[in-house]
Amino acid sequence: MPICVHAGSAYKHPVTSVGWPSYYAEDYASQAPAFHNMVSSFICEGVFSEYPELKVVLAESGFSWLPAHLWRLTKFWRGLRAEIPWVDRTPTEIARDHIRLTLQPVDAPPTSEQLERLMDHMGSDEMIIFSTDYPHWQFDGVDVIPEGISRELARKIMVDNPKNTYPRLQ
Amino acid sequence: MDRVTTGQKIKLAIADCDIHPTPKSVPVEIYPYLSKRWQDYMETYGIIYRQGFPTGPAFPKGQPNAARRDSYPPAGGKPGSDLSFMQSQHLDPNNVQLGILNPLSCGQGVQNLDFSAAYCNAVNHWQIAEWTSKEPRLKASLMIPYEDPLASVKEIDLWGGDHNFAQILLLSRTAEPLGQRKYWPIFEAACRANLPVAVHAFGYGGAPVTGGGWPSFYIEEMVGHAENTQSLLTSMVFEGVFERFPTLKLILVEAGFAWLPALTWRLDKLWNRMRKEIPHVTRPPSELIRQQVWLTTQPMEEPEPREHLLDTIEWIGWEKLLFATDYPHWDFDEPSRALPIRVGKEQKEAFFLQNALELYGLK
Repeated sequence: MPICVHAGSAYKHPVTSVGWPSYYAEDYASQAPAFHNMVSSFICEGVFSEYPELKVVLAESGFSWLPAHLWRLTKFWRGLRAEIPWVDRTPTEIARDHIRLTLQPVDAPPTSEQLERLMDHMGSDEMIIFSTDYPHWQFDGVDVIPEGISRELARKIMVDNPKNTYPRLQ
Repeated sequence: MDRVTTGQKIKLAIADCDIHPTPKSVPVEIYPYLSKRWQDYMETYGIIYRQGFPTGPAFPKGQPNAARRDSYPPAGGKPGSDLSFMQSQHLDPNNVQLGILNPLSCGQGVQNLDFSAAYCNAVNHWQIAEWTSKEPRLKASLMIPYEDPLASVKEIDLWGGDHNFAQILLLSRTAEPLGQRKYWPIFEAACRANLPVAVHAFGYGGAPVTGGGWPSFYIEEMVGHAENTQSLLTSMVFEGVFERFPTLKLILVEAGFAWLPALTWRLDKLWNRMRKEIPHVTRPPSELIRQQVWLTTQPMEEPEPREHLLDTIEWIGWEKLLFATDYPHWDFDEPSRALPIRVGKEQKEAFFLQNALELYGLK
């Protein structure tokens, strides 16, 4: 079974690395950087080297931040891999094999063309699995799948990727 | 025909918006600007940061002094301590027309606020005496004891009209999120002095360096500067700093930049849904950021294929990026290799120099 990590906090630390936010909007925004750091931790600590069968699902994390984060993490791995020698291939490759993210909230760019480009930046059509976050308020727009995602990719998001992520659904 | 190689290759003129100078010797170069009381204090007690370790950084830095191996001056001293070596290794061959000095480990964010103020003042004197008065291409950062906003205002008002200084400098990991009211006097004074506020990665605010606790490795800390910077920027947006100080210019230094579009999409969405919680934010975050925030380029993200970075830069705006190398650190971005994508002449010149000249009022 995969491990699913959902947005939220046990508030053992200030919710951001620069202290406690004043507003709920700010607290909610801070969930995303927390996921970035978590992705770094999973990969850098070697969790997926130790457990090569493991998949981790990030729920309500957003995903539009992922390409930029992996570009950065992979760049630093090139310079610092001596510190984490068990990470024996690029963090980008590891993430594509082991990490999955739910669709909502999309945190989408303003235009469907930009979303199309972003999906290209993802570098893999296997990472996103369909979700609605029902009955919460974070659902974006009214379309079940936002514009800018092709029919083929939509099918993967709604059918193939969940099946491959959750073996017990087969 | 013999190949003639000379050092005189005509290179694109650049700005370097993140250079790290360091004293050759603190007693020799900094003590002259410190009272005896503070000299004795340093000798006896050292500098106390808001972190658990009395000496050294929380995460060992991957390279000694976090520096390039070839940046140790032949005449001796630490990387970044020798102006003539900086000129011959970096400023001259890389055709640096404008270099912004960002001194680190120079008394900012330390627990003893009186010491912090005294040391920042000393470093401001030192930058002029040892650097900007000798090398016109360099500009200094106005160091402030930012955890003491009133003392910071004093320091800004003291130096504000001095053209040796291009900007005010803080570190990113502050004790509270940087948008909070405690820090507003600094922004007010910055606007009064007509100086941008630059926030450079690092510092110790007391919180673990991620919102999920202390990571194990230096690489996580380094990558995490992007997250710290996103949090401080979110704070500044939602606290209404950009609305309250519409002439404030913010520069985010050494946190990368490719993360910015996704952050603005998320913040716009949250602002749209939660206007009632933050009615003082009257314009979309993406608009505020586009108008008042700039970012230095180092460490430049490296997508595969590289052309993806063009999308990202277009989404941010070519005019928003300020080239930087981070000399003399190990993750230095080499100017001739940093932007390995074909771009138009105008965009290239904006990216490497013109944006900085415009922002710092040096055109």
